[in-house]
Amino acid sequence: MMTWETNENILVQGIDTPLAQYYVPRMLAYGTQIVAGVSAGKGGVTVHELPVFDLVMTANSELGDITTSLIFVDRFAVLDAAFEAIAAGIKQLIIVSAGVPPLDMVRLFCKAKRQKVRILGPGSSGLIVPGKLWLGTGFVNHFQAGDVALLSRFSSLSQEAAILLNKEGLGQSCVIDVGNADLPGSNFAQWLSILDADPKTKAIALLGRYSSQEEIELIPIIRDDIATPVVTYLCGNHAPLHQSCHDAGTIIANQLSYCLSETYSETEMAAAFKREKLMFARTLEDVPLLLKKAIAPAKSRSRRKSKTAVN
Amino acid sequence: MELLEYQAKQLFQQVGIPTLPSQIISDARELKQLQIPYPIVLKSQVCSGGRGKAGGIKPAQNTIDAIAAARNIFNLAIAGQYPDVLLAEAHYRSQQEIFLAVVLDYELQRPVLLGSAYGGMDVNKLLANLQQVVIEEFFSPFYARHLLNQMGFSGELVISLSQVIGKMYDLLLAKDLDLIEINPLGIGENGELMALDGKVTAHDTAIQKHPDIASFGDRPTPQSPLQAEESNALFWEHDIKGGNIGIICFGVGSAALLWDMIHNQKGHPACCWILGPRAQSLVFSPNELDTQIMAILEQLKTLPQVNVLLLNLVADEEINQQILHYLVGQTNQPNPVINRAPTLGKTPTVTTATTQLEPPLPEIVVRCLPTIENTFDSSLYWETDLGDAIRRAIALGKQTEIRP
Repeated sequence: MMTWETNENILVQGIDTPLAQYYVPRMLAYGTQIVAGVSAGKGGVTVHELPVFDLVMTANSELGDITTSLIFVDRFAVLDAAFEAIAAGIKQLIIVSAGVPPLDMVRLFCKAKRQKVRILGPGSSGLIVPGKLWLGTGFVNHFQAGDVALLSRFSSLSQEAAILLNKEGLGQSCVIDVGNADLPGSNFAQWLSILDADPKTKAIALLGRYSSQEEIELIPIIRDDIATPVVTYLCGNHAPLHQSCHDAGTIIANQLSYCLSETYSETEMAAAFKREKLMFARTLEDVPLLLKKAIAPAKSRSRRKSKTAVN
Repeated sequence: MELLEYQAKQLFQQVGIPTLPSQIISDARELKQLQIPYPIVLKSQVCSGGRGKAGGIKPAQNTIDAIAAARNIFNLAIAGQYPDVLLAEAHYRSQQEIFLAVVLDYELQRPVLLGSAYGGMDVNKLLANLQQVVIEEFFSPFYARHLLNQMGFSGELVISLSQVIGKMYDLLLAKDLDLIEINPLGIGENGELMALDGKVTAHDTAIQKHPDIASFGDRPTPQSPLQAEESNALFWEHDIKGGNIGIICFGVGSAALLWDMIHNQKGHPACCWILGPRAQSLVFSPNELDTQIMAILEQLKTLPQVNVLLLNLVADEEINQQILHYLVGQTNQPNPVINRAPTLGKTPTVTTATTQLEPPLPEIVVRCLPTIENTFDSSLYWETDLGDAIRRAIALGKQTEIRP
């Protein structure tokens, strides 16, 4: 099972990029313990009072075990930066850079799997523990500490959800953006199991999108493997979001016969979740209401096992 | 980005996949100087399937035939596209036609080899016989032999076909492709192979990484937000069919949410501008924000149906203030901005007549949380709740529609 350590000793690769220059001081101000930066050729200088190293390996040996590296480098250099971090023994990577070539990700997955390295991103605004830890980009101003985890494909959707949750007195235990990549380093299923094991998380709001195969495939996982209540909301039913990618056979079939790939309407998606007695929010406003219901002390007729019973 | 057949074949030639002698024709008269011998086949170069059935592929026995056929094809739109060029290609007689492809499977996160012993136009038969082999870690020719075995091939052909598959795989890796397909691959009398048609789809990132792919033209894959975001400052989605609400927001998720909410309340979104950095690796500079807002206002002039702008501000306080500052600074002018152009040293030729034709600026609904400092003009509609903002925008849209 994938796990994620949220503790200190964080490295920033590509600390001299404009994006890192902008976010590093903000993350530091938020309380995130970034200990160093890496930028080839810039070793020895100090950026935002952080030492900069030429090599990840030097940073790791001088500063002790680094748990996580935030990768801000150019997207075509991500594969190299990730390989360097893995070679130095870092086990958690957050790839902030977006638009990494998918075949680079394929190469990275092979290595990461062998070395048991966990990846968030690419194109991820990162991971936030409100009030404590901010790893990545995006806007954190609307997040408040609490016990609902937000797991999303879009950081801006998490923001909107948090605004509604806050109104109902529901703070957030953790906010995770799996990123916008066609080939993401980690998926909803992996994060659901991490959040399920997190004692601070009492419920999970899953913010996905329509016409995505991954969301449909989560149904049996949420039903069978996740003890924490999950409220799902999907956006983009009417919006012109681009089609999600499929398996090779479907790609070819679509290409040859020029039919659009199968998508699910709002009603079909809602029905699919409700058939399994899973909580599905038709609107974002319904999310806090369903979460409140889920967190409320379980009634005797509730079929859902409580989290304490599992642990 | 999907390449045209002739471009795909140029890539095939680079890696040594056999193709027929051919020539690119951009005008029917060029056929008088044709370098390849008759009979030939003329093929419309559009990124669309079913060219044969639509009449985009025609054989020609001589120059007169060829010119007539070429004129015909140039004037034939296939799925709405007219060809800029035709491919004139030598005729080839194959004993058997098969299908081969290498595709990046996004679900498996692996490249996959695909093959069917029945290539060509009979799609159903092709798909019914489609075989697949997943590449784990690194390609080795045995994967190709496995595929060919599943397709029912044996003997010498396996060796030559697996070489072609290997070359296709090399091309996929070298050029960051999503898909490379040969359909059909002709097998001649003596077992010689020929890529008779090819399709190559390069991933959006390939365009920046590989200049040769970028030089293949500016035909973006339709509805590719990533590319749109990078080529322009803004990602603009629109529904020209009667939408009257324009959205300005941050982030694709927020855009999708607003779009859905407007729909659910029977409103009609027209378009959406997603503010953001020009390139993924950059951050927003105030200068860029200014440029983007100006671009939005310029674009608004071409969209008279947009009578309400819904501005969703949930970003950093600093950025929210900047957006408001720029937008209000432009829209608060007592007269259309263009009136002032001569004094700004831009386009001094603007006449009063044209300014009278300027459409009125839309109503603006600002959605922001109460923390924002409201020092702006009261002609804006302020809402803190997103639902309220959307209801307000829809109501305003209807009001303006009724107005004479």
